[in-house]
Amino acid sequence: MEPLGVYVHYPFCRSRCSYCDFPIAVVPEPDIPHDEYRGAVVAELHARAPALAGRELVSIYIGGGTPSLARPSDVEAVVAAVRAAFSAQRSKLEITLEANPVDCTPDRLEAWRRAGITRLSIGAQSADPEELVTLGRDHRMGEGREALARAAGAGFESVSADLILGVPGPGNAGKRALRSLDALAGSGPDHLSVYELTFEPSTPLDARRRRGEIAALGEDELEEIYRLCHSELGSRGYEHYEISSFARPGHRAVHNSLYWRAAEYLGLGSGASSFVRHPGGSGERWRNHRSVHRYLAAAPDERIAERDSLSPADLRADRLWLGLRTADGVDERAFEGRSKLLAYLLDTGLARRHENYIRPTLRGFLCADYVAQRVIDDRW
Amino acid sequence: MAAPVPPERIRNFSIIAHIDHGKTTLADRLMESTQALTEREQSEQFLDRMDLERERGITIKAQAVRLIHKTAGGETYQLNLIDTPGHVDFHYEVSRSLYACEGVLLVIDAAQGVEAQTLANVYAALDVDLEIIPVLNKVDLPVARPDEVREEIEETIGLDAQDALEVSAKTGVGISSVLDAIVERVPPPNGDREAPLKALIFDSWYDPYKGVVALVRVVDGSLKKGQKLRFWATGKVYECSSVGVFTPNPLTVPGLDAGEVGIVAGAIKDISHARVGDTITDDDRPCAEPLPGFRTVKPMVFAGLFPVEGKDYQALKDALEKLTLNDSAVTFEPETSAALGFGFRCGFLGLLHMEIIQERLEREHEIDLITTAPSVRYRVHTKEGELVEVENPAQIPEAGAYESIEEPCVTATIYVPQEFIGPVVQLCEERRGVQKDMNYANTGRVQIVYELPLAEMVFGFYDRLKTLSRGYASVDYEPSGYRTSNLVRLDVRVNGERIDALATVAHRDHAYHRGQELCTKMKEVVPRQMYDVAIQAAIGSRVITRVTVKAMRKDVTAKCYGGDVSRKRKLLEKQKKGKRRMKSVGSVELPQEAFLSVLKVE
Repeated sequence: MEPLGVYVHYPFCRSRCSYCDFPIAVVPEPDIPHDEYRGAVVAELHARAPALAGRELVSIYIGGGTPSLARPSDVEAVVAAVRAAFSAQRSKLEITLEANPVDCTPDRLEAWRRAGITRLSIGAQSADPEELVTLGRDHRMGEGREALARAAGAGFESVSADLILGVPGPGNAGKRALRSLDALAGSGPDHLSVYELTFEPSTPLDARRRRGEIAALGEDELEEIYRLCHSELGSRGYEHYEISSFARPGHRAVHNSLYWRAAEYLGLGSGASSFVRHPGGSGERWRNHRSVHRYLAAAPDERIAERDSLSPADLRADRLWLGLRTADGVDERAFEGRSKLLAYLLDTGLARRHENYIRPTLRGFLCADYVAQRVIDDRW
Repeated sequence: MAAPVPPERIRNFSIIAHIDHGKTTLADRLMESTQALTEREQSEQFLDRMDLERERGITIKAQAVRLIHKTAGGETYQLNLIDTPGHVDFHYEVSRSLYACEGVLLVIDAAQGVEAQTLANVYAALDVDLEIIPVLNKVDLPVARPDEVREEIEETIGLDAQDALEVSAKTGVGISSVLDAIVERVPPPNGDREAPLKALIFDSWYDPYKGVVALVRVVDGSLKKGQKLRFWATGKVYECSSVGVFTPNPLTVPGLDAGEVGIVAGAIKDISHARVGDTITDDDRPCAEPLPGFRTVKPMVFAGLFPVEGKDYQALKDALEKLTLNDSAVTFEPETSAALGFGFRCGFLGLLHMEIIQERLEREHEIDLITTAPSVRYRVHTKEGELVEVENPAQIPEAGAYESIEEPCVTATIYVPQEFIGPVVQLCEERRGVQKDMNYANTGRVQIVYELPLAEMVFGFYDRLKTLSRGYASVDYEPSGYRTSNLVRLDVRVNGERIDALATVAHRDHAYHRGQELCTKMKEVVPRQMYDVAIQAAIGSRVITRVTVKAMRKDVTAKCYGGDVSRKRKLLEKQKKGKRRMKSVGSVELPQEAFLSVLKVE
């Protein structure tokens, strides 16, 4: 059976972080339409699930937004509905919830456990007080670490921390990065997602950059931080298994790995994206309306804002460039007809051969977009 | 139209206007008020045939439309509106179109006033003694300032503008006054209808059904179907198979008499047999001598055109053959480049002409091209005493391996307001010009004549001139022969490999500076690769400058989850389109801009 992941988007937030361009809605806590949103997500699930019969559900991922704002009873109801819709038999089903450090109170942690959550992904982002202010996070230094430590002792199968590097600020950026890595990795997570700060257009952070109030780090600095992170986390026993992902053995993210293997996923909720394959090798991606209001108001068949068809050739290319973002790389056979591309990647040291697999080097990770461009350009 | 129209009822006129001053709109209005166009056709701006012309707002080919105008007094006039190309590259075509007229409408935007670029055409019209009727267009605009613009016309052109017409082609105000002025002020043609046929070709093109078609002005005699037509320059004789006019829809007529304008076909296969400026006469009863001023237009600038994809070579060849059917000024011959593979060295009248052809190839024939920097035709005197003409800089021998090199020069006539003399003279001197003449007109304008190497004109002279005169200088040039210059071939090496398609020719005194600038410009456009790329400029084996495009260190987006995949894929597809014009040269990918970097060097 083909594996399938279900992503549930929970769009509500207390405030918008300065760097965020996600489909979120800032709503005061008492005004969150808990019932209505849960109802819409479950209705969407029931509308979509029949077409995906025959897949093996391997993961449920509740992301946001701030899913830790959701009522644990709603989390439980949605998880149960998804499991039921795909008659998930699997005992090792990964069920992830994204959580803000401030929400990780002992009773919430306990409630999430009871709701069936097996994996917690905590948005610690930084351990540097000034960076947290720049990023507009609602927690303070120390809270990320405390949340991680509490979660680590709460009985989840995996705990992951999100970390943002390359945040403008005073002093040596590499040293700041190391301090954050040390503080957060030292708090016991078995998985880390480490992102370089991206200045997304039309975010408050980018506006500050354009006004000259803050300066983005230079390419050389960012490269150095990336390499530093690779070796620091490597020496602590984390495997650098994807461009931004590090895991202790046995703790790779099942859900995220689906994306990089070009496997199928169903996205539910506002702004959520889905990908399904069709018989014959073609496929389809679609995305729901980003506005919660619009999503809630839409009839079940009008929730989709954007839909793209993909040819078998498109999907072969996607499998290549997505796979080359992971340490496992791709089976050499996937390069059939692309010998020029393969030779280029090997010659330039962007990838290397490992048995039957073509795997990216650290440089290949650092230049993944460049690699992807070549993959998509069929002249190569 | 059966009875011949007497000459005193014919007016041949043209419209001179700066881009956007409303030439096409005015022409449409004139056609509309003489009921030449239906409403649907009016929406299409009839005069500009090619999409490209419409987009660039430039007329490339000449056109002629016959309008029938009834005056208030009930008299019927035949008005022939002759449209002219509007760019210095087509100077000769303009001069021939104007020669076919007796008067011009000088259209000037009543808000913007006189623009420099129109001046060259105004002077060309004055040269052939045409009646000039100033027309102030766009008087409906709140910012219109007709009185000031009148003064400008008098000051800058030296033309009496008191009776300039005030119109708005947009609203239709004043259009009838234009028609009246054409009738009253443009003189009728004076030709001898009984004399032997003498007709001027002022444009020609290839029609897939009729063969080559010539747009003519009959000067003397008359022209009819079945007549044996002799084309003076080549002596070729063709039987006239049809005579017609544009109204603006094509209409067959029995014949054209002296003073009239129309099109002639005669199963002519080769457009070089019906060249612009040539005279057509009756083979059975030829005129004594041709009309003056004929010359064969020769390409002045040359560039290599290479298909990005080698498999498009044949398609490019077919497309060039088709294009030259319509444009005898384009030449092409096969060329092989070590860097770019198989392509063609093509000759053009000028840079705009080159761009137009290039765009037509890409747009109409869907061929992605790499164009090398344009060059001129050099004359190399070898040590063996031979004279070799070289149009490809890569083929200029190394310094010391030849006796001397001559380069083509032009006589450039620049009109400029007095306050800009300094910078203009400085520009011409920098460009290795030799001053020939300087005349002050009492209007505050100065005519500066320089002999300049054509190559210096080609490389951005026009743009610089416009910039430093804030748009007020105009330039016109004609070939003035060859002169010996101290020239060297400037090579560009990429990672040590000499790239033939990047070679240029420079004056020895300027070579060092040009090499430096060229490398700097290249560095801006060569994308970073996985390794350092060295770009060097060299004269022979001597490297004069070097820049390095540093290897790419990091190019990665951190996040790639559900929705990111789609977003990323779209971005990649877009980037792929942008890369279509990349050519792998050795181990390095060079974009089209790299080959034209030399044009950006000042």
